[in-house]
Amino acid sequence: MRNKKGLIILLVLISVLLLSGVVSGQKEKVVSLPFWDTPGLIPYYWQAQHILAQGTIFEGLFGYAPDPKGLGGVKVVPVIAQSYKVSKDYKVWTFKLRKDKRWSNGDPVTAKDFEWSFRYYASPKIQDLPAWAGPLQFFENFWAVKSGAEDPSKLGVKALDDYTLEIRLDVPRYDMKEWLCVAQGVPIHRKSVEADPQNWWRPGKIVVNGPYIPVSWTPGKDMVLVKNPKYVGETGNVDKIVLKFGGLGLQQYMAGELDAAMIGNVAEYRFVMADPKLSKEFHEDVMDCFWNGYQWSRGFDPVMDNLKLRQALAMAIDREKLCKDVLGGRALPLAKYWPDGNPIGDKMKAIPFDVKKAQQLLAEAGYPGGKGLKTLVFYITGGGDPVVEFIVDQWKKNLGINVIIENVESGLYWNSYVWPSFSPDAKAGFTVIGAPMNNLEIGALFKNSDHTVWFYDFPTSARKRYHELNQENDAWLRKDGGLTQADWAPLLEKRKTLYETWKKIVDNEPEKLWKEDIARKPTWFERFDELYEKWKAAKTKEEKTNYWRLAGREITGQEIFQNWYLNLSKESKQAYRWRFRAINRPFSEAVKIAHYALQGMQDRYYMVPVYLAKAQWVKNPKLEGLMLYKFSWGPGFFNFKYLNLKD
Amino acid sequence: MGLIKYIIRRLFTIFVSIVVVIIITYILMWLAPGDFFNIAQFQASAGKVATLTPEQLQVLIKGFEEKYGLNVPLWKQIWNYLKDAFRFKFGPSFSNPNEPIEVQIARRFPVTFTLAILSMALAVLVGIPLGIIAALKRNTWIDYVSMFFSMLGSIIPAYLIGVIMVLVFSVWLRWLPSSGWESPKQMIMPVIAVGLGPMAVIARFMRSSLLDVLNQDYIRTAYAKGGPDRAVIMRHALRNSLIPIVTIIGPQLAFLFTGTVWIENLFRVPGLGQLFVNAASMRDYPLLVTSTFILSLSVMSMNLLVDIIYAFLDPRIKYE
Repeated sequence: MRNKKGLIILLVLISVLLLSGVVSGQKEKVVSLPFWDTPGLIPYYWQAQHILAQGTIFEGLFGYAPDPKGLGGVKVVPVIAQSYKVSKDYKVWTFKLRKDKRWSNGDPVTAKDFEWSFRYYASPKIQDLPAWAGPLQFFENFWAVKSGAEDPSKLGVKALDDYTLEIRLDVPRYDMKEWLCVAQGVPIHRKSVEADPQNWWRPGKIVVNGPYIPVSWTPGKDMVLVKNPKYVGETGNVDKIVLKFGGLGLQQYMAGELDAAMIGNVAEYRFVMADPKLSKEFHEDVMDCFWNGYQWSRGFDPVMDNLKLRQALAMAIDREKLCKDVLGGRALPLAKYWPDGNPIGDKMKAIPFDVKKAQQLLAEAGYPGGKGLKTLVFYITGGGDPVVEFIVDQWKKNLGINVIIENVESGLYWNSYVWPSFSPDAKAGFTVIGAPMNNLEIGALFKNSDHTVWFYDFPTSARKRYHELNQENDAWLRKDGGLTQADWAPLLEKRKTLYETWKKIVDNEPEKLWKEDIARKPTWFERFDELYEKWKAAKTKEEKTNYWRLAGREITGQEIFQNWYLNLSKESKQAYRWRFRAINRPFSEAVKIAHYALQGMQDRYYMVPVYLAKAQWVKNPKLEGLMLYKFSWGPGFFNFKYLNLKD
Repeated sequence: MGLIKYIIRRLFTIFVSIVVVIIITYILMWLAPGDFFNIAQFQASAGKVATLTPEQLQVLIKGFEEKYGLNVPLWKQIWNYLKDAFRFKFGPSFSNPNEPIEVQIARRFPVTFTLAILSMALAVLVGIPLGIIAALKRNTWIDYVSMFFSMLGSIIPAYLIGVIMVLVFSVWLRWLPSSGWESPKQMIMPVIAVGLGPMAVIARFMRSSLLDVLNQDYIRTAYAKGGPDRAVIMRHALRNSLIPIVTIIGPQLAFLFTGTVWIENLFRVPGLGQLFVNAASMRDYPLLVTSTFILSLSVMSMNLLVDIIYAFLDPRIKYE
């Protein structure tokens, strides 16, 4: 009898164990990965959470899927969108949504979620939305809504029914699918946001529509994500992901605390390659969404107007040697904005390394052997920069040119020397630049090289005038006056002369798309005339001053345009025409012709590619589907829904 | 009564000093090249704002300035900040718009406080006996060995000690987790790495201070009275030699509240140091002013505490 009881208990225990998966080996699959330090989980901010929002905890109409041959290693695929149609002018996009998508609390994901979320992001309530980083900036009335001039209901988004969403744009956009992949393109859960506007995003409260739910985390500590049981769509087999911020990645990996780790420097790289076990777990890929190199400083010294000087400097750098000796094999030589082996790079011509030619060009530029050329300045930040030291050394050795290295405080460096339109205080010289794509979209294909057209390629006198006009334009915001007709007289006079020139520009511009852009309605003079009429009808002094100020800005805005257009080199104009052609066609088509514009801009030698960084990492051999993030925050890992952990 | 009056007077001085420090900080920030919006947006955007029209840019600037209270004159910004700061309300930061700075500080302060207190406890518990032994065994091998190790502690950077410990105890021996701040095991290495520096300083100060006291007339008198060595040292010498140690512990502790950034990065300790150092390098102005506020408050409070402890350690010190 006792034996029988014992047998029954044993059988019950075995059954429980089998059911719980312990005996069958179905234990929880947990992966620990490094991630960027993330201050919150609100998706629309440009902090690290935007990367987590792209396909891991949130999803939008479209998303990224791995594609080793695609730009950035990704391709755009429909996620919540089932199908779409677009109007002929590419201004109205209509999406049919999948009906099986659910929020993590079980609510269906509908077109109304998108409509509400986009209006919420666009509303003045979100005062610091980084609109430049998302698709909303192109929505009809976005800027008027954001400024408070229009109600959010006027934003160009509408749920036609529960599963049909219409997006109307201010201007044609051929790459809306691409733009809708980014974090400002994902919806958030209305009920939970309205229930607790301050804390809806905290683990325990957050309702997501992606494959993973954050269940525990306080900023700075590990974040734990578990599989969203309500998620419908393709996922891997990983049940739990632990994200770790900071620390010694490689050592954490070696201690068994991480399943993958980025290699951060040459010493780590050499250590890994010398280790028999680690070297087998080593992987690398090129960061093709960047180019690293230098750009001329954005000051007003006429020395940089000399094309031959710019060419000579670009051709006198031994990029192979740099990558081997200085960067320790963690980069590839890059003498064009896109590398070989990709659809854009394959069609571009590289800057040659040719010291003799460089010396000849330098002599033709008026500085034989570097004689007569003033000492140039290479601005850096954060202490020494071995790449800059190498370049400066190459210029001295190959061309006899003296360049001094000047260290600048980081805030000043990025703000006043690297990314502004102009740097009035900068001496003739250079800054380093790592020019990234923030995300996949047509404008980003040019990797910021279009700054050549916008801010560089016209004579110094015109660049200086451009800067002064910019300042004048800002000054109009604070000007007093505009109460009498006499205040308008100079503006009306300028309007007349500017119109004559504008008309000539429109008539003579050969590129139809550019011409259309310049003449897009309402034109600057139509807006000016409307402001003038409003001024005449205005009742209060404040209104009158305001209309006068806005009209003044229209005038200086047009002066800026004309100063720019008329002084731009013919080569840059031609490159810009190609840019227009590229941005006015679908993404896949734009990729095919982007090289014309890129080549044109590269050949002006203001922004010069030097090397292409590699992303290097080690990973648990059992882990598959790890996606490398190659855009501007990269390298790192993202889009964890494809992770698979083999037994 | 005298002590209470003294404390009140000092608290008032602290208040005035902090107001002055904040005003200076604001003026320096205002004088620095580049304005708030440009720093915050240009750095983040990698030149993308260049594609916006001036009007669109103005919309972004306006919203941004409103959120961070930058749309009023400088004097008003300072006034608004001080008004809220003394109630521990600091508003949002550029690098973390998700939640106010006081929430970030409230979450990180206990971590930093624990790290600082544990490290200082380690430093005191090891440093003081080490210094005493070295002083009492002056010019013997014990003295040389003690001072050699305390010298090592002060010349090897905490960061390097941390890396070596990770390699030995996490990677090779696998005894301790390499990072994190959840369990006592995770705290061992960061506490040792942070504590070794102050420990070395305390040991050396203790040694020289005790040697100094041992040469005083009153110690000779105590010995002459025939008291046992132990009683003379414990009752007369040690107490007086601790005064300079208290002086250095106060500022060291205040420094540890914000000066442990390398160790925080290395061991993934979510403390204040990392937050405040990032504020400076990323020009996160709201956070930068707040870090100045917190640091000033910590240092001044610690100095006040040290002065109060003096009164208990040395009966000759009277506060009027």
